[in-house]
Amino acid sequence: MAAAFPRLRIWAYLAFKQIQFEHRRSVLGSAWIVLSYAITAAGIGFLMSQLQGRPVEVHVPHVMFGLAIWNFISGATIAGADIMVTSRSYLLQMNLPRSLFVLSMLLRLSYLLGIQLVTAFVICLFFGWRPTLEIVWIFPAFAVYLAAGFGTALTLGMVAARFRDISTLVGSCMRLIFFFTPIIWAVGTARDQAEGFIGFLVRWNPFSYVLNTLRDGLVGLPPDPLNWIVTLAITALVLFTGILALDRMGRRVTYWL
Amino acid sequence: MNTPNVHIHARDITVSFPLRRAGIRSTGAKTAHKALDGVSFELAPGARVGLLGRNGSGKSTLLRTLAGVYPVTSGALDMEGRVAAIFNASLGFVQEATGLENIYLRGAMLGLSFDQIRELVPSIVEFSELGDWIREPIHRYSSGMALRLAFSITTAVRSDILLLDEWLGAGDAAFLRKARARMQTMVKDASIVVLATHNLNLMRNQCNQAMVLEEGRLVFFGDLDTAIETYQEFRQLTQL
Repeated sequence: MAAAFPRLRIWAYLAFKQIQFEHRRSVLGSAWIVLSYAITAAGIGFLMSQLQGRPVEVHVPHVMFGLAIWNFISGATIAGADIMVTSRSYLLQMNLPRSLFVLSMLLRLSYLLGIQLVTAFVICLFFGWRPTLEIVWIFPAFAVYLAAGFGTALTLGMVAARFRDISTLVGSCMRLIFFFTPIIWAVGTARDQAEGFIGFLVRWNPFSYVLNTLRDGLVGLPPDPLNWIVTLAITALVLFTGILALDRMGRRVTYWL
Repeated sequence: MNTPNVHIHARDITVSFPLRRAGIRSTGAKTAHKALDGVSFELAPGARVGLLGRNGSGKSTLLRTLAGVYPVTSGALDMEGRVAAIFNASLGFVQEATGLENIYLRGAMLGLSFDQIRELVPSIVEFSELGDWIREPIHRYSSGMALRLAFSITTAVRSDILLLDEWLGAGDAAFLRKARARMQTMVKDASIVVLATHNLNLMRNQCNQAMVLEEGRLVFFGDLDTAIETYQEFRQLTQL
């Protein structure tokens, strides 16, 4: 794992380039990253604020920040499950540290998260949102996200290289979890007030804790200890399984590609 | 900056791949395929080895094992020296990226820093003879152009062991002469070259000894003529 870090500068450059490559053949190019996010996130935010009868200056930021963060979480999970398979052509070319590809993917997702958050700032200011001092909490929260993403991608990436069905399963699960997590909808202010199935979802869906750990700071809520405890526990768990997977399967992963 | 004592010592190396179905349903079928089966040899500096064998005989697996891509399942592989390899001209290229961006990409794979790559760029572009094409995305390149770029990048970095799989066939005659000259300089610098190919003329030009693989086993290792004879015997055996 340590072998990956001295090369980080060049990999940061390449992760940035990778985003450009993906849009190169379209007329608007990289501008699509901002555009497609701005259109869908603002549109869904406005629609859901009307559907749920919540004020736009509250609900549009809730949805826009929520979607940007979800893109990072689901991106790290889905791309993470595919990471060894999609890096096949490099891994079969030479003996490279496996964690390098995970770091490069996390960098790419971090760029996207940054771009989307800045876009959300601008649009949400227009809708009447104002940042508060709580925003400083997004930095430690993001650091925890990186660690969690690293562990998740290593774990799923190794296992899914051996058992290919995993990556399809992960994709289906994440699509479902998107709707089962308060990203585009909300349950009032206090978690405890929610009842019935929605209450069960909000209380037992770990993704809602992880998502809120970062979003709270953006929508002006003080850090919630329970969010942080759950998120840190999940991070510790996936880091452990990730390092275990790297140790047990890392060297042999090329056999399965 | 020569690595002292460049060598490859393979002792009874075996590489067996798990077969896909293994572990999910037990059908009683075999669960692993031995792509390399008890291969032993020693290579010293100056060796330019041709690798012969029919499709599926283990040539690519052997090269990838030497490159560290596949760990050996059993046996011992003792190697010293910096390895550079080209297995397939398209591998390791991002099709959407320009040739120039791909130089950075592959340079990063080879473990170079940003500044090291920047210093190498002019000489790589010159050797590849791509000219202005270097600013075009790779998906517009012909296979020969992609190959020239891959070879230029890989050999721009000083390496002690060069592994090449088949692909040299895609280059035109003029480029092959240049490639040969560069490979010979490398060999003079006490390097080892291993080249797998079905092109016997290419092998006679580039190599000074040869190995013949058959079903994962090393059946011959020695002079070129005997190796080619052995290889052709194996080919005829299957044609009967």
